[in-house]
Amino acid sequence: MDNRRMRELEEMCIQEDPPFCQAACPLGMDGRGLCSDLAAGTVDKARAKVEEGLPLPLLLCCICDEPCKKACPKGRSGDPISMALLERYSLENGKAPRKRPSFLSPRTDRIALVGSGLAAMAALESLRAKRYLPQVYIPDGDLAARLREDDRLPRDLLDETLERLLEGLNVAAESPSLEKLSEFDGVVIADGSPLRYPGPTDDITFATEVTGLFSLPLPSDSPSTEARRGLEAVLSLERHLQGASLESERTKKADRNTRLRAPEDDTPSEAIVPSGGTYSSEEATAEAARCLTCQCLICHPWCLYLQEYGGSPRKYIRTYHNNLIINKGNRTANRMIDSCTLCGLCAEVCPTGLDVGQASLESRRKMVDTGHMPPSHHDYPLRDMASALEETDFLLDPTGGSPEWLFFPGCQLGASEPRWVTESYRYLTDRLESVALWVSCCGAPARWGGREALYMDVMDLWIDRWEELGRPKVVTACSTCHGLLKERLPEGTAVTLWETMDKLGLPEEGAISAETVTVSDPCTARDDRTAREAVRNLLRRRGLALEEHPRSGRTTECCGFGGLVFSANPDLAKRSAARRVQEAGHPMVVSCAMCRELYARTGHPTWHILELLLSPEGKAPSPRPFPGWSARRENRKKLKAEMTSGTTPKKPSESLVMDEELRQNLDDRWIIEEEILKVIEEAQSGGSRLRRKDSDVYLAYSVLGERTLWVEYSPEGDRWRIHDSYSHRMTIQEVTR
Amino acid sequence: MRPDPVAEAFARSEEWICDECGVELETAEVTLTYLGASFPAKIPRCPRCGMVFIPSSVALGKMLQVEQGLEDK
Ligand code: SF4
Ligand code: SF4
Ligand code: SF4
Ligand SMILES: [Zn+2]
Repeated sequence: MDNRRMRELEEMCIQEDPPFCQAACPLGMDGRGLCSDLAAGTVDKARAKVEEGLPLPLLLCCICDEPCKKACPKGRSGDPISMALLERYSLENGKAPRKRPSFLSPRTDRIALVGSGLAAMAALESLRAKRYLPQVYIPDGDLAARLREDDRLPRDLLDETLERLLEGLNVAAESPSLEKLSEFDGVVIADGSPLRYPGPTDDITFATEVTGLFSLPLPSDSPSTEARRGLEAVLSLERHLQGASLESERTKKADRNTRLRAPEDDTPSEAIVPSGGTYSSEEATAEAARCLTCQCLICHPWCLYLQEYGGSPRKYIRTYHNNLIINKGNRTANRMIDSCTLCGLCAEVCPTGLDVGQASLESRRKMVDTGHMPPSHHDYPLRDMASALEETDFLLDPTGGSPEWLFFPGCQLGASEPRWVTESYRYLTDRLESVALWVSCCGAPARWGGREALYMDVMDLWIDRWEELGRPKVVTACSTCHGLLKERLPEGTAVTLWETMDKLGLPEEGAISAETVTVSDPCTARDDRTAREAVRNLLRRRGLALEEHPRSGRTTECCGFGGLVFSANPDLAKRSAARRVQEAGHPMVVSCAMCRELYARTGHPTWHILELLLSPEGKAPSPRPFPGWSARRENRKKLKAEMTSGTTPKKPSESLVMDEELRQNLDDRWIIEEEILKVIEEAQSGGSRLRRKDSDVYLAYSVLGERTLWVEYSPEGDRWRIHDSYSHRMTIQEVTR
Repeated sequence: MRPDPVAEAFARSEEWICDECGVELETAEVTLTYLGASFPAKIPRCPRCGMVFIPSSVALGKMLQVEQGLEDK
């Protein structure tokens, strides 16, 4: 991910766009922040915001035309937020921010300000804050001439303001000639002046053809616009004096836009009307509390991962990027990058379609390429993939090389329950002419882990084999395989088992009864409407009453298996699954073997659709628990052995005895019973082992791949009792004694 | 002061003997490596055949910490 790509993705997130009130306010007042402060009762902070945001704050909020109100979504069904009243309340009730006295001497540039009215006053205030001492020309003699007609402005406030602004300045009640003005280093001609620059002026900088002369357009009847013009003119003048570019960065600021969408669930409410002339503390708090705190984060409620590390996806992408460009020091975001399930839900709900998963995947590839992918994050799933590709891969081809159909159930279905593969294969062979069965892996774990080259190798081998078979039509039983194969195979070549069954008829006739079931779609079927509908048809045809999961179809969520999160951040994956089952009103039915496993692991009754379709008529079978990672590996071996040689192999787990708590612990640590047995067998056939004094408890280890696996065991009859097992990745190098 | 888990593990090494050589374990200096980094460590081992002893408290404690530290570099 290079800088440009990162910025492109980051820019797509509109979370940091201004709220509607701020976008509409010519002065860019942070109305959302003000409301939050007041609703939280932090009035001093609110006051600081107003003083920071507005020139001549008290004066302005007495007469502001409040363009923010037109934009505020509260106004759609009730009254918009009364921002000016809240500003005034803050100024009158908050403690004044402490101003540091400035010991810097005034600037010596010769500056002139001509005019009267709000723009001129705002300009003057700004000039004084920047330590300029302008010559002031007030043609009609009163800097506040037009404002005096506004009876909302208290007289003494106006007088005090004028006195403060003009203190110590040279003031002339006249209209100077343009020639006279040319003696100054910089000039601002504000409104209220009969003197007007005759030529064209720039809309944003107010620059004229005369260098250093800035002239404002005719007065508007919007006080907030007037005040803003005064400030902009001073900014131009200052840049002119510094020899800096007048335009840079200003066009973008000038059309202050927001891409935000108005919040949806907005209950109409009326504005709080001050019982006195201004708000009491209760009134202000109540009014501020009506604010909807407009911002995006539409994606947050949908995705636990996006909540997990807080803030906007914009921030996520920035963090990913920073993590990748680090030269020295720690990459603290490695786990964060590996914790997204790549499910694409965010892109589905985001108004701009930002796919955080895409950024996460691109970052993973970069981590792999630069050697910074932590080996432990994807260790287990990659080992499991290797086993599925090598140890338990098999092809059954009764046609001897030219099947019309190829059933590719994926690597996980048989791992969960071998019967689901054998019986659905029998179903297909009963109804279709020539069907081969190939049990293997599509390479998804490699792709999710950012190992794109490895993934491509797996896929290339897959395609080679498929071509050798004469390019049969492929029936898939896993939506991940299905999606990845669709990417590579000609259109229409890969079909799901569910569509196929929907066409060919139910495997078992007769209804099956269960209380209502909640249908949950796998995240990889998000774009596959046909498959999702076929699943529902089949279940209904089996007589089941269906209820939709509240997040289903295009907005379904991942179970925690996707993106290998179950391995890189097991805790987050468990919480995602838990949230999903909690939201299901009934036992769940899924059409993905891994969804089945991870939901069943939470203890929630969960069926794989095949289990309901393949069971005999009658009551639905009781949902199976999660078999555990060890048993899944054994199931795969059993499937292969039974299908290829007709024998049932002895399971390693049958040689081991351990209590349930330990079994659970080892499963959570990805310690597979087959590997435990390997360590014991090695130690027993002449390897090294330690022995607990005065007992027959042994401790031995083997280096298996990148891990060292330790097993504490003792004989029990013709089996082994396991007391503990653990692993580490550090290797014991040499004895330096 | 909280007990040092490594020291505790060493205390536990007194419960074990090397089965092959039938002798008690002794502490030795070894080098542990991971991801290209190496660390010296004191580990109980059989003085004859060199069979080492790493208890679960160390593998899942100190060693894991170091491993994770190196992975996030
Ligand atoms: S609801 Fe609040 S944040 Fe949104 S526009 Fe109105 S005042 Fe601003
Ligand atoms: S939905 Fe999320 S990703 Fe999309 S713009 Fe909003 S905050 Fe950003
Ligand atoms: S887990 Fe899914 S919804 Fe969440 S960020 Fe990743 S791709 Fe988006
Ligand atoms: Zn020994």
